[in-house]
Amino acid sequence: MTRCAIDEAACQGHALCVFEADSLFRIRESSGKAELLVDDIPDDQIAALYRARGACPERAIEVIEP
Amino acid sequence: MTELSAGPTANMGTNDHPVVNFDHHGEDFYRTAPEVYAALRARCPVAYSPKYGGFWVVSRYDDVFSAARDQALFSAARSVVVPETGIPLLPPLESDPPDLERFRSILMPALSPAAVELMVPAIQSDVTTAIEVFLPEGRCDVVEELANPIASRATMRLLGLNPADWRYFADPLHEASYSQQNSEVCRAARERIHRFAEYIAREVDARIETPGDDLISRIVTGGGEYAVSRTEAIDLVRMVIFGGMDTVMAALSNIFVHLGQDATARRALASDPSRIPRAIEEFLRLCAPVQGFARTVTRKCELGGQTLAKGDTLFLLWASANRDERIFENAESFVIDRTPNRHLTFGIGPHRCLGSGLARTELRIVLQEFLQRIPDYEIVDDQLVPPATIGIVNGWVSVPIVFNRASP
Repeated sequence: MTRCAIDEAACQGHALCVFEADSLFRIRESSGKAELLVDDIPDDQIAALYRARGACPERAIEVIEP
Repeated sequence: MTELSAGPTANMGTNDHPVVNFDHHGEDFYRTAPEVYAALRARCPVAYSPKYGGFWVVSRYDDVFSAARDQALFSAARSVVVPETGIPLLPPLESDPPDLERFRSILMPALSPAAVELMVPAIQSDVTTAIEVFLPEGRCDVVEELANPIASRATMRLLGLNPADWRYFADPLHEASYSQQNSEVCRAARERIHRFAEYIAREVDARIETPGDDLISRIVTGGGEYAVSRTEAIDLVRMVIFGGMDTVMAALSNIFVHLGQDATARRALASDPSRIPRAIEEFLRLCAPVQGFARTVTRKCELGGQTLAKGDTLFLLWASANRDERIFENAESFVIDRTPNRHLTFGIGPHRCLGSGLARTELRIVLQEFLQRIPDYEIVDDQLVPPATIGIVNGWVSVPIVFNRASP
């Protein structure tokens, strides 16, 4: 399965990943950082995952191919 | 010295670095900025301007990106506008760690996506009320009658201040931003801005006495672990007012000017509102309401091939990075669905604008509600009023439009 990692040090909570893929990401209220809602990315969400990676201004999203 | 708009090459100064005649407060800079930026990026991406006591101008995306994210090397704990305005420092925009994290932690939850969602009904109501007033007239000044009240009232509500009082803050802020820095208008406006502290102090004191559930209450109670002093609380409230009013108003003025001149984009967004969010990012990329912010060099270092000394001022040009052809294809063109669009309009790194989600939401609601009722309009060109300077905020003073009252 495709997975994803968020670089928490780089993430500044812009929330553009949430805009691109709200079933994969959300912003944690306490830290203001993005967090993943799933471990394995469903096939029908992979395009959205790549859009989220492309949208992240801090380049904090890494896609891990199976 | 290099004439950025016309000269062919960068002259080397006496210290072997490119010296340029860059002045972001220049009178016609609102028109010439894109070509000045293009010349800087092409010929001297890190260049020295002798204006305002001297500062480095950083114009390429990669340099702006890396400098803004290096808070140890480049301090923000000094005025981030050039030249300084004499207004007290605005935390956390003008803070370094550990204050930076302390202040951000207080403000951030109030501006999270979930918190912004709760503000949508009030913004929506403000927007439709404003539009209904001028709709029967067939004309309006978009800045005065829509952009200004919407941005200002949203900011007042966020803080828990009376939205009806918005002009007390908004008027002097706009006057100071849009006038020449040494003018009488600017001086008078800044005096009124200094007096914001009295109004804010009363509101802060009232919430120290009896906290409510607004942002000022959150600031004074600090959520427990992030205690702030009364003075810091006043500074934080001032920061939110500065961050929320001028900027969104300026962004909206730029968007309405662009759409007034681009019938294709206007019709595309009116007929398919789902394209509005991506279009907003593209408007923000091409017409950044804040052209750039400054940092102070903390120790001798290199950037873009230039040697910077401790204490030097570095002006990071978000607006030029946004047009860097190394990053953006057709960088000077408006591409309505541009994806990806990693513009730096809200800054980048630990000082990125905390209100970006709220700002995007305000812009989206205004465009949706406006274009739904007024899908077509024309700018009254001879009444369009540019600002005297875009050095702090880049927007139009006045954007009068006319439209068909019978519009569906």
